[in-house]
Amino acid sequence: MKKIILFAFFIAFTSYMSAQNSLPQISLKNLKGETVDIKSLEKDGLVMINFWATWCGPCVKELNALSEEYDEIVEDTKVKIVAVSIDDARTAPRVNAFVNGKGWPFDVLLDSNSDLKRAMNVGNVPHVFIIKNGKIVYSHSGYTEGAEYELIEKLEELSKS
Amino acid sequence: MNLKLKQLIPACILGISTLTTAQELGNISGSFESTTQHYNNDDAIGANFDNVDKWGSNNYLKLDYNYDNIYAGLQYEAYVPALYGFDPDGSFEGEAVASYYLAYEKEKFGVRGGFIYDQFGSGLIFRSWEDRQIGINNAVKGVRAYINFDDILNVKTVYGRQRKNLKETGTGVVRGVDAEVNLNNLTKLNGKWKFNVGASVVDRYEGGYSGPIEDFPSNVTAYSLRFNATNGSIYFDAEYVGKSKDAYVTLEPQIEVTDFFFDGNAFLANLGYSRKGFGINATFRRMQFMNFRSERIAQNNSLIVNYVPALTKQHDYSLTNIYVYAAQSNFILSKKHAVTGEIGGQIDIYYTIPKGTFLGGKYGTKIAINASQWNGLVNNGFLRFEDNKLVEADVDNELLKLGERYFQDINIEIYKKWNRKWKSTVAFLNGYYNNTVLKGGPGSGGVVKTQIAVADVTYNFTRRSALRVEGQHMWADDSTGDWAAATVEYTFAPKWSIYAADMYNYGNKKPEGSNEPDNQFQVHYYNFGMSYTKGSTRFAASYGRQRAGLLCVGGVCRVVPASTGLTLTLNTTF
Repeated sequence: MKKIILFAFFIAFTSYMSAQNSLPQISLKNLKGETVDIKSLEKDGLVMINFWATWCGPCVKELNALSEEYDEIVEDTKVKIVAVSIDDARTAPRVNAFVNGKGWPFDVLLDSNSDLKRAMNVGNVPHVFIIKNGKIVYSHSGYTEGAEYELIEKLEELSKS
Repeated sequence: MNLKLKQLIPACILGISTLTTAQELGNISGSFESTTQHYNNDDAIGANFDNVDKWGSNNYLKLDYNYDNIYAGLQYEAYVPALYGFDPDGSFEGEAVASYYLAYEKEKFGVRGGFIYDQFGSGLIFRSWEDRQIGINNAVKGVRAYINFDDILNVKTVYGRQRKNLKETGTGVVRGVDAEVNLNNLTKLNGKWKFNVGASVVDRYEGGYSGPIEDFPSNVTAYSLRFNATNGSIYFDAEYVGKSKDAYVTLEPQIEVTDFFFDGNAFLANLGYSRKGFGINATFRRMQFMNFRSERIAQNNSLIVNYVPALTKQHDYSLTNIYVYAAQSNFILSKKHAVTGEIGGQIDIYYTIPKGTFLGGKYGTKIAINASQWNGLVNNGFLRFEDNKLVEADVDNELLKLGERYFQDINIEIYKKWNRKWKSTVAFLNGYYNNTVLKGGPGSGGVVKTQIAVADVTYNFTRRSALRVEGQHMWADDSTGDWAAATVEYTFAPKWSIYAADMYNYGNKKPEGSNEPDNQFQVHYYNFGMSYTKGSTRFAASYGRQRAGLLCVGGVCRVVPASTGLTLTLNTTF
């Protein structure tokens, strides 16, 4: 019981402390073979980072849904969407074929040993972060049918403020 | 020193965080994950918890602190007690600050001390990672440094001992160095094609051998060379790993280091092409004696140095996860079967039939095809046994000949959105599973051929509420027969989800004259549950039967015992 109280205390305490977070110092490869420094995303005004994997059904549904609305989202909010694949050596080789085969328009980064996932404290995928002016302002885990509308509303709200 | 460091880091983090606000002196972030299970006795699946704790609970609290280029963190873990099957040798009892780190890291240079997760290349030579579901955490407790020279040469080194369980590290020392050269920046050719070459050396030293052999391999050294090229559309990767002589460990009649030494190697190649709406990828791998541990006799998922995943499609429907392949790197030499490695490959094709065509409809139709096959190697040498004990071994494997077939899977999946209300996925799989070698299936052995059909339909009532119904059937020529399964799930986005599911092994009929109780045949593996998500916090509760078998994530598996009961999980990120 003591442990549980301690946990609860930690959580309450740290969530209060970490109202705004910046991005970690990690470099990942994109599908063109270029190295992308995650910190450099802080320069873009509005960024959405979607953690996903080829083997994760809900992740693929979420990205399918966002890809259908992509043109309007980008036109309305000027957001940059970055899909970070946590596929490891087992499935990472198929990410390029998978993304293009599905016709997804997002920038894709490969996090094959979960370095970024760990640094951003992501438990399970899918997990979304919205970053504005270099600070994490929103995060959401999991995907249920239609949850993309909440993300879109959030992006619209943030693009105006 | 260890104790002091362990106490110092949390003290520092708490001290700093209480003194100041997040923006001024850095950020604190973290996550908490808790899985608690209550186990009931259940005759039908042979689950009995009479003389053991009926509760299991795995808990993880991770805290990270960052200020400028300084990073520090810790992970507190509590197993009160561990979930059944998570901990085969009983070493995960209790709680502890099980890992921690302190780092100074910039884009071109960094050092880190404490528990380190990293990989060289694809991980075929070295990978340390954590997977809580599987119960794997082989982080290296030691130091890591990296330095980048003008974006041309990237060098990193790792040195330490691997985490073995909650409180201990293994006795073997692991040290590695990895170098990667960006050929474009080296030659100042900046076209569309990007080329990289890499090389690594990883050495493991484990002392403690006191037997009569003079050249006993206390040091095992592996080296690797890799190359990759891509223009974003065509991509090619290849990697070769050689591993010096390592003592062969028998599993039967007991786990024991033998006087037989084998050297290992692996070759992995991948070629792909993609353009908008189409992608194809082909992978080939051959390996022998690639079981690489920092303690020779380590078993299961303990003290693994390298990562050799099963290169097959990771399916996400319940019946498609009954006969699951595991890469054959933990070798078994017995009278009946000599497994010294594997050879095989897989092909993936993804295609979207364009919008506006007859088959594409209004939204386009997405097709995914995958085929994989894995075989054993052909040994021209010989193995001699006396009383099931290996007494002479000469392994001389053919380079490219296919030996005994272990696994095959050919599958297709078609996804179609019909209109704003309806979506559907249909899938068909054809499988071949060598249960004698792989031992992952429910039956008693032999070759099992399976066909699986899946239909998965989603109906959206409104923008936010939807019903998903999924039906599956598996024809299996195993002694346990055919299966049917169904799931019904209702979601109310973005917070609520409820579901009920059943897997029914209706083909497992009671043989005439059997004395086994009736309820152990034609078992229903039912499950129902709900989840609630708010922001980055997710709570889920479920009740049901868990089939005994292999739970596999990312090609690494653990054995889960049969159980019936309640499961509660809480995940949060902050």
